[in-house]
Amino acid sequence: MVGMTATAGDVRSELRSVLDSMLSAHASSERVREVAASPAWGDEQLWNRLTEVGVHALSVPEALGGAGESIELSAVVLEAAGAHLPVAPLLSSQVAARLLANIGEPASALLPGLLDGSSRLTSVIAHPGEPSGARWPITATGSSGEVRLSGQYPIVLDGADAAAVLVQAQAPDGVVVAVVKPTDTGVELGRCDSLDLTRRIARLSLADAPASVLASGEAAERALERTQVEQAYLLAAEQLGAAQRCLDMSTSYAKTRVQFGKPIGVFQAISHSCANMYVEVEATRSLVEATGGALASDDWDEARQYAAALESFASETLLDCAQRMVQIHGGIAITWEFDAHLYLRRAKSTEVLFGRPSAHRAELLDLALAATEAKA
Amino acid sequence: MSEQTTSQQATRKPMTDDELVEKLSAFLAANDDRPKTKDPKEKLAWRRDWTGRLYDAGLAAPNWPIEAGGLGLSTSQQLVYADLMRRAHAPSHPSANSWVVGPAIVEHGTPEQRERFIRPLLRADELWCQGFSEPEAGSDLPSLRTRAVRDGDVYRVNGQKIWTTQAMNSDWMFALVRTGEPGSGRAGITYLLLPMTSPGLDVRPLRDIGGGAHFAEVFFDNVEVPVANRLGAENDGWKVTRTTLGHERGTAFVVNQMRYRRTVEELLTLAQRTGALEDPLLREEVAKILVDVRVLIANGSRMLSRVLAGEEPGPVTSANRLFASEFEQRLNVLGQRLSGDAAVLNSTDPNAFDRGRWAYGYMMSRATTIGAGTAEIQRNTIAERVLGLPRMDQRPSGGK
Repeated sequence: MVGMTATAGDVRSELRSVLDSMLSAHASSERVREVAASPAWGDEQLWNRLTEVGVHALSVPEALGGAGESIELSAVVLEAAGAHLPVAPLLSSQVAARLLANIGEPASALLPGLLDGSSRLTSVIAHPGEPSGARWPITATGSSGEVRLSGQYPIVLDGADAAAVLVQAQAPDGVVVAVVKPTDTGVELGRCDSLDLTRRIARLSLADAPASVLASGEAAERALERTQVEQAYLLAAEQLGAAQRCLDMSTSYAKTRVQFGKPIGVFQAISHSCANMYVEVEATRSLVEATGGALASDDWDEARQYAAALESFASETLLDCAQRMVQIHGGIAITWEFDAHLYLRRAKSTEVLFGRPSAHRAELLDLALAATEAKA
Repeated sequence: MSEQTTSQQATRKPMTDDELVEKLSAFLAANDDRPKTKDPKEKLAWRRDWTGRLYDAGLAAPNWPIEAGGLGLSTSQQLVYADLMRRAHAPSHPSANSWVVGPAIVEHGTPEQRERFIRPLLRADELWCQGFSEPEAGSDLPSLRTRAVRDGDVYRVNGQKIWTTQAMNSDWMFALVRTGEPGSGRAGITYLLLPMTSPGLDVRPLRDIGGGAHFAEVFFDNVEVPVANRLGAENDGWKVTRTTLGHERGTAFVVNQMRYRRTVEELLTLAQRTGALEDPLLREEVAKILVDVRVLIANGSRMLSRVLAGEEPGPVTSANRLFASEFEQRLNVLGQRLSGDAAVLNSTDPNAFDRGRWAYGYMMSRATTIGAGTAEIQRNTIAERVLGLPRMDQRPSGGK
């Protein structure tokens, strides 16, 4: 269970380096700011380059037309995205791809567009700390095949410009996953002002909107349960990339910024703050590896517990690192021109995305207590 | 090493996996004789005897190279070894410091010193204590002042050591002494091996924060140490302290992982027993400890997989060390809080939960961010050696 084969590790480090050079070249601070300030859904040129590398259906099984790689490669994509903050719907489309993969064959019609980058998908599924069952805010009426959806959900990643939204909905006889298109009647997806300038979000309103069902009953439950864990893992990988960048920027500044005739990194108030960031970032990296290993080897009980621990820890790590970075940079960090605020915005908004840290911890405690009882 | 230093392992060849399991299992089965006694002296005597039998069976020092007198096991074999030992509840070597001074003797000792010291060290015939820290030289160890002056064939040592763990039970001390000019720092330090029975040497036990006596002050009043007991060259002792031997890093993880999983079970049991989980804030605190434990296990897994791949465990080691030392404190603070009213009892009270481990752990874990490198020194080390921030000597002076 420890680690992965050398080959898998090689593939990961190769992808990491390909994405890192691509994003360094094509997601510079200037470019990111330019796209962020525009009305565009994202950086289309960059999206096309990412499509050429084949990132969109990396972890989708080959039987469904994907590359059949481990979900750990999707995590590598998001880690790179977190480091560079490109305006591109990577998190939403990777999560949607996982939901399709977990649904399997019934979702195969949506795969071709996902693969060639032409159809950007996003999803709305429950996360820890949210009401479930009858209290879930989106309901479905009608039965198998075609249903009608009603309800509202406040946050849909990249929702306003997606080709389709995969929606969890509560039908009278159980949960379903259905697809709606922004242009369908009864579907309203209005773009919101996002605290995170490099991520588009929308608000979803459904009023008796027609939708086709991808999965229902136990199949839907299984796919949702799995995707819920995987989306926490993928978000944490993104947070890891961003936190590492905050640490790198901070140490680099601490080495070069001179005050009192010395680089400020000689002062323990600064160097210890960097050391604290390092401990958190390394712990997050270890948890990402452990969670990815458990998911890849289908050790489901471990994967669920690790993902809950990871997502609470990664959220708090990124928030702490982004805030420390601002403090270490001093005055320059509270200007619009300096990139610190982009990471701070990402940090604060992802802290609560897919569930607050405390909700993930509550989940972990419940799982641990259940495991202890099962053992006794 | 050209010369064989220990007699018993002269013709050793590397063991196959099967040989290791067969031989060690047979030994553990035949030596399953832990006494029921609670008397610390009797327990220690048994551990020394058991360790001697382990050596005589050719099963001591799993990670040391064969030519140094060890088994030269591969990392994966070391894991097998550690697992078998753990399952059999086998005792660990009674002197942890043996694994500090042993490699230094193997690496820097003369043939005579290796012949004299290694076998009794591995058999636990002789236990060792470490004389490094001084009242005025803690985190700043290179400023140590215990003086050793050469006088013919001996050094005359005067000064004081402190925080010497197990000084009362030890037969020998390995000590750092000042042979260079005062203020010569790392360049004027010599490494000496000296018997605890030396005339002029006085051990005064210190009671620790938990009420026990695990460490001591050691005073030197004109103690004579033969020059033959110097390890390495005069004024070259700092380098000797940097010695390591073999690769033992993987096995600690296996032991720690089991310990951490047990800790979680104990903490959850305590929380359930005292009803603490009905309080949402305490639930959250318990959950935070569960997250911490996952971090420790994940860090360990990551280090281990690198070691198994033949790489260095990497800088995550220093991150994990700091995390672990602060975790022990968080754990015991919470254990006491979950205990509720019972937390006012000392660890010795029969009504304390879990045989007093939370009260005792609370007091003793304050040392985890002090002993063997304070948390502050660990942060300095991460900042300088891992992150490459400017070094200590570029820092503002201390105002002397």
